Amino acid sequence: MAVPVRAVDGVSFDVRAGQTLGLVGESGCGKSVTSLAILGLLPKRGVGVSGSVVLEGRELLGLPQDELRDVRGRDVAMIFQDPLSSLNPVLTIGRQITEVLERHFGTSPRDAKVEAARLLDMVGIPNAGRRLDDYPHQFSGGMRQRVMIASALACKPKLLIADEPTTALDVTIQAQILELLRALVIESQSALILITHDLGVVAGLCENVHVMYSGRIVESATRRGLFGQPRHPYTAGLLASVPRLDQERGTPLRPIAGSPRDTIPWDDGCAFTPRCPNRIPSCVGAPPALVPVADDASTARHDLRCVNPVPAPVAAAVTSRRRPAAGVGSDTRATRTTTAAPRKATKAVPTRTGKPVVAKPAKQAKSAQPAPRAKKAQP
Amino acid sequence: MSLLEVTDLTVHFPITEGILIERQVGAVRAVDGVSFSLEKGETLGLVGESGCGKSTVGRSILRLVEPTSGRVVFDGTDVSSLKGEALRRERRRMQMIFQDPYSSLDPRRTVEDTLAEPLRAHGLFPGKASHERVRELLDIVGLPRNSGSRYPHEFSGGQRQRVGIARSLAVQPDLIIADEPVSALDVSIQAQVVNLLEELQAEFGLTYLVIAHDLAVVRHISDRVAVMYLGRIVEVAPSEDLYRIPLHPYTIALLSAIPIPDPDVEDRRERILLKGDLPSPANPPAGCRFHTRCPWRQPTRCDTEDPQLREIPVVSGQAHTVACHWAEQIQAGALRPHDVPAPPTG
Repeated sequence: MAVPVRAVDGVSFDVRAGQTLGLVGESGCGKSVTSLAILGLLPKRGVGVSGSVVLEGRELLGLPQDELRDVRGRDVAMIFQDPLSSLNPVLTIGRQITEVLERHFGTSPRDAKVEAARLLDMVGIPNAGRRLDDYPHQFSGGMRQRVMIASALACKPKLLIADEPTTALDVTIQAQILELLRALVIESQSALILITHDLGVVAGLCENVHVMYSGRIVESATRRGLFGQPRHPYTAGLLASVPRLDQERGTPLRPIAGSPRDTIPWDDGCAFTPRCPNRIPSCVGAPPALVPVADDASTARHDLRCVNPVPAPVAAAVTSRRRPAAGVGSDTRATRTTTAAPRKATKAVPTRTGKPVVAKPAKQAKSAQPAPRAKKAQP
Repeated sequence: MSLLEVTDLTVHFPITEGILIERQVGAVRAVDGVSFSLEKGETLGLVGESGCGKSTVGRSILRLVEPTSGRVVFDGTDVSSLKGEALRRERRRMQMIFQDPYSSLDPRRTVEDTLAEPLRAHGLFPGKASHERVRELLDIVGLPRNSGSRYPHEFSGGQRQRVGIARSLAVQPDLIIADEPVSALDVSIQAQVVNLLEELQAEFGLTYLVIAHDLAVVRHISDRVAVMYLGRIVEVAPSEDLYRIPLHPYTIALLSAIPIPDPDVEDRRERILLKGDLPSPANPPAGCRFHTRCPWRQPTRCDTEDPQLREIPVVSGQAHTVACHWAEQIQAGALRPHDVPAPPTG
């Protein structure tokens, strides 16, 4: 029997209407599992999901299948990475969009077709009306991704989850799709959760960013807070390891040592410890809690899960580095969930605690078998 | 003399019809008249989007794909006319690093088998010496010396790419063609491999042709960057000022599309969005191939006259080589980008 793998561990966040939230991390960090858990798309068998996912006051985790099916596609829609394998190859794209409308709103086939053409036109497919009867293979990659976005938008969902929506696309096409998403969020006032590994995409699109590593959120901040003052050694390391176009050429890259695989059994403290340049003895032991940064110069919220963070550029000189004890700040977090959740808020908190980290609000998720893209258990 | 001189390289893949009697009804012009040269110890980056022919250029230099026409001269030898044993010998000096470290290593052979095979094939380090050479190679690429007995699946993606690099180094080549060497790797691992490539170049005096779609990585590692669009090179520029003063409209659009991990820069940038997709290389547009999507397109010349690569002096820096009729005017700011209707697709 496989040892249970914690693909996602104590992840909490909220996103409001018209807001874009970025979930960043490398492969295997649990970002996709998080989104699948929100939609209840993880396999029932052998996967334990706990916590709470609240969409406009309604708890989604544990909803019966038929009710969940009403939610999916209507209230929450998902855009997947690879449009070729997530569109049905034997159905015309027109059918794949009208199906959503007929299923959720009982739209007549004729009206649905008109609406489908309008949607395709909106996402920028030329001659939309005539292309309804075409099959996915007749479209290019960028066009297929537009079709996916059109079908995801068909019911004007309150929450849109885009899982690496542009990773399979060329940069100029990526720019088109990102521009489209940006415009759609403003226009439709949907909430958007953007899952990606590309820090550049996040910098341009997301108001708030959560950085994930080994199933946990290790740092969360506004985009300016995160890129201006990255505090977690992992975030700082990621930023230092990607070459930037606007940098002076010859700036050396500072890679993060090791690879994510090195950290499979990470019950013992912070999962990043084996690769971390800032590690100190207290990194091993109880995993640090996600607590507000004490010395962030700005007033914006900035949470960090690290006992020995990268010093803040300016504040470090003035304030002595505070080392928060594990568990501190759980109450602040609880307030946040209540205060920062007005009517239209969506909270997603699939999680799991291995060793209890003091009182955390709601949530735990464990998968007893390796979940998709999660790391394999050690033999 | 340049180490590698590519002149008017053309690779057309035939499109055939008929089952018993095949006849050619057209050709995909994957590479259509590409010329460049590479000095010893230099790194040239070849960038472009999928389908622009950049990988085909790399493969046809090694004759892994037969070029339709054109000349490839490597260190004074015309590779394009070599045959049999002579070609095999010449290939020792030109090695390739592939994109996908998962599929380019034989899963049923140990790392030592994989690394020793090129040595055997070229009669280098015979007998016991090959074992020592394998250990040395592993050490060079930063893997434990004793990992030769392990199989590819025991390594992570970054480590596998190191094995791939060790394999290309085994026969002491002069030129290494790296086709998307880091794009299959996680972000935090990419920098490790990029740095390794740079260290190896300094240590062994290697010459690189780096083929990739990630312009930021290519610019970092290359001395010069050649931008390809639909089978042609549209601009060659020194890496230093490619971002600062791009001249070809496609280069400008490509650079503006690349996200930069800095919110302040992102908010200030002028983004030039290209409409539509790459036209089919089986039926490329007449005149300038980019004219169907070009935001700088002018009513004359663009759709009729094929622009040739020519040197354009740059205000502060080395000249760029650009294939655009209006490069001077664009550089001077006399022409502004305008909206273009999306070209018909499908």
